[in-house]
Amino acid sequence: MVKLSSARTTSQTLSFIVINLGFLGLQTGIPLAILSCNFLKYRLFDCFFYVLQDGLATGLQGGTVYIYTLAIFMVLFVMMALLLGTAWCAWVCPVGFVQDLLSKGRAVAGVRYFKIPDRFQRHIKLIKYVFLAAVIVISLGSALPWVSNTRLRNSLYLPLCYVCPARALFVYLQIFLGILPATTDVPLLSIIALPIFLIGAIVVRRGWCIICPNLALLSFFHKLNAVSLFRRKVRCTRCGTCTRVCAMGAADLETQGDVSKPECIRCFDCIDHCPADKSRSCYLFKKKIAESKFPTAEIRRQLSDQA
Amino acid sequence: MMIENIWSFIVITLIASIAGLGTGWFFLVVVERSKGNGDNNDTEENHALKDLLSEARASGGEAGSSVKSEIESALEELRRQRKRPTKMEYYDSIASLQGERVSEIETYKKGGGRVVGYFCVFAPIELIRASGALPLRLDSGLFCTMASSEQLLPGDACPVVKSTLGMGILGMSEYFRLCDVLLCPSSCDMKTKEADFLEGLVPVWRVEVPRCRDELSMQHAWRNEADSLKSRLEELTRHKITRSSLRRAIELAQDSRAIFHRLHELRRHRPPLISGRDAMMATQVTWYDDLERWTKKTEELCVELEQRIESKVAVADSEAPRIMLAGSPIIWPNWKLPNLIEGAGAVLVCDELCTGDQGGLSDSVNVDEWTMKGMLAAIADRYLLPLTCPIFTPNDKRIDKIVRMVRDFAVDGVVYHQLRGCYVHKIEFSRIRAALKDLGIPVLGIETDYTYEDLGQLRTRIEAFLEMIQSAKEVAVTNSMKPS
Repeated sequence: MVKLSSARTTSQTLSFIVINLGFLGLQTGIPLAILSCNFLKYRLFDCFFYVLQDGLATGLQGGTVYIYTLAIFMVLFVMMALLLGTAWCAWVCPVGFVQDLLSKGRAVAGVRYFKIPDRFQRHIKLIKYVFLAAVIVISLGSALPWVSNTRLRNSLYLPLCYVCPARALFVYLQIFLGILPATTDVPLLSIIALPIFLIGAIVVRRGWCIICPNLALLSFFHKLNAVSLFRRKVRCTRCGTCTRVCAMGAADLETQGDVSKPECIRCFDCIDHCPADKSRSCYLFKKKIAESKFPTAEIRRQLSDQA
Repeated sequence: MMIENIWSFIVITLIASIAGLGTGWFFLVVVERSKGNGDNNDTEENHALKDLLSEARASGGEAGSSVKSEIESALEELRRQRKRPTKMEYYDSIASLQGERVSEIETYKKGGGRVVGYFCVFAPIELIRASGALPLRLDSGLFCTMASSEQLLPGDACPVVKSTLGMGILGMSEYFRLCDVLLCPSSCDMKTKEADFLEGLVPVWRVEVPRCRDELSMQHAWRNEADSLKSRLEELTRHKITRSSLRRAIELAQDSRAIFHRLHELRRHRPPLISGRDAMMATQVTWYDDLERWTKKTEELCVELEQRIESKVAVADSEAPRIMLAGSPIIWPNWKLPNLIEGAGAVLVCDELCTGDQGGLSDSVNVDEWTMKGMLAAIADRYLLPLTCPIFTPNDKRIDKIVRMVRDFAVDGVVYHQLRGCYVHKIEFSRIRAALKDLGIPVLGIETDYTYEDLGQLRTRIEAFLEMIQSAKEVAVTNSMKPS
């Protein structure tokens, strides 16, 4: 059995280079089920949320072509969600990758993360659905005929892109690398959101993911995809390691069997750290790809190389 | 003019502040210290406790020679085993509770080292070792020291506490004598109140163990206990526990745990490669031994056992009933029950005792991030959440653990040891028996003491229990051989 964390870092790094650094100099125009900015040059894949907002707003104003495009990409999105579900967030999404990097840096510096108290977790988990609803309602609203004011319409169109910290982060990154011209426009709210995003990534690890509307969309498929996480209660020693490791607050010591929760992003760090033999395991297409093992000397070395 | 004024101002201020600080230092440090020395004299209460303890010491009588003979006879019993692994000799030398290991610790103490004694399974040895101190677990299985504490404790008090307290009162154990401080957890009632007497012998640090550990607030309280223990240790050893020292201590202990796990896995082999008595003693030696040396020696033992698989050497045949020990602690040199069970032809393949597989080296400290707080949280969680001590409520995970071990080790029967006065273990017995009944695993509940008076009666019961298991097995074998 391989340790999944190193495989995950490799996968994240690859997708970051390909999607955000314009590495191949190609553009397919196909959106993946992740947040990868659409204002970048030479992006291999588009951002699904840009397509969604654009399709809703422009389509409702009479652009039938946009509706068809959106419908095709929606079907594609559902297929991707049925394939990997929320695993897109932990394994592919570049926003998640940046957060993981910052979190690792914090750990190396010797600062502990802040764990959101459990009594707040339940409410915080709802924010992402509110966010998703707001994005959809506002982009639909911008297409209504009574929004005749162009300035108002322009600022309501693409509501997520106006506040998305990833846009500021990745656009400035490409400007820094000389891929995009320095005059590229970034909305003020997005710039303001960037430091909040960075602090969230450092302090609570995956701060953005907790409120991410893309995770809200993917979480509708959390029981309906090929990647699943299992916990066998009788093997579990209830040592609480998984609750400390989980950045999404999705691990608990009560549920058993299929513990794929809506907010679980399938990073499988809990499997890597779980010390109970065969207690936690993950499956891809009903095939077991990893399970927890007692930390023998070899396994520990692999883990501390990661940390 | 101006400049002169400023200079005189500075000089006067300097002189005044030095004089002020000097006076303050004199009053605060010198005067307070001399006063403090006066305060440190024993209060009336301590006098009373010390008188009580010395009275008990006088009544204890001549136990000195009997400690030696008790340990020797226990070792003799082990040496008499057939096909005992040769590497067990090393553990024998440490288990004699005297000799080289004691002089090693004495030299260590002369070099300024500190020794922290502890009881039960809640003491974070990683934290103690990171501060540079040496942890020693002091729970005692000596029968001869019990007499001295009989008059201090109620008659039905638990023999572990009686024996441990007696050991301290009589000064019988060299390890006890070498301790600078004792870490006393408030686990069961007996252990909690034990600290009140031990206070008269050695300084005591009390640690509050939360019983409703599933509550998050209790887990926070326990983490705070770990934090405060850290600062107390730093004060004792005058060594700051740093990130690197704590990390090193955790990694060293993890190496030992990996080896312990390997030994544990080898006990699953059928036919058995090592007797349960030997494996239990090798485990308990970690209480006193230098952990790094123990790890090396145990690795050698594991290699020897692995060679036994190839050369087909076993301590018993494959058909010998595989027994699991559960319940109250069984502490060296009180090997009465293990000797009885293995003497009757069975083999102990695993145990769920806090002095065996559950204590010390069983569960690992799982650090998610190597930050100070991260390591402390991992240590605190390790010494609270996975433990199956019956003081906790709810304690369903204990039943899960027993069921898991019964399956993993292909156990044929469970012997549930209940010490007289050990109520928490007795209370859980009925639930565990019911859970095992569902699995079809027979359970024998044995209520006993450190005395050897009930030896004959226990032997009869154990032999009957093993015979029942054997005949049930034979029935199963003949049933499976019948053509269906």
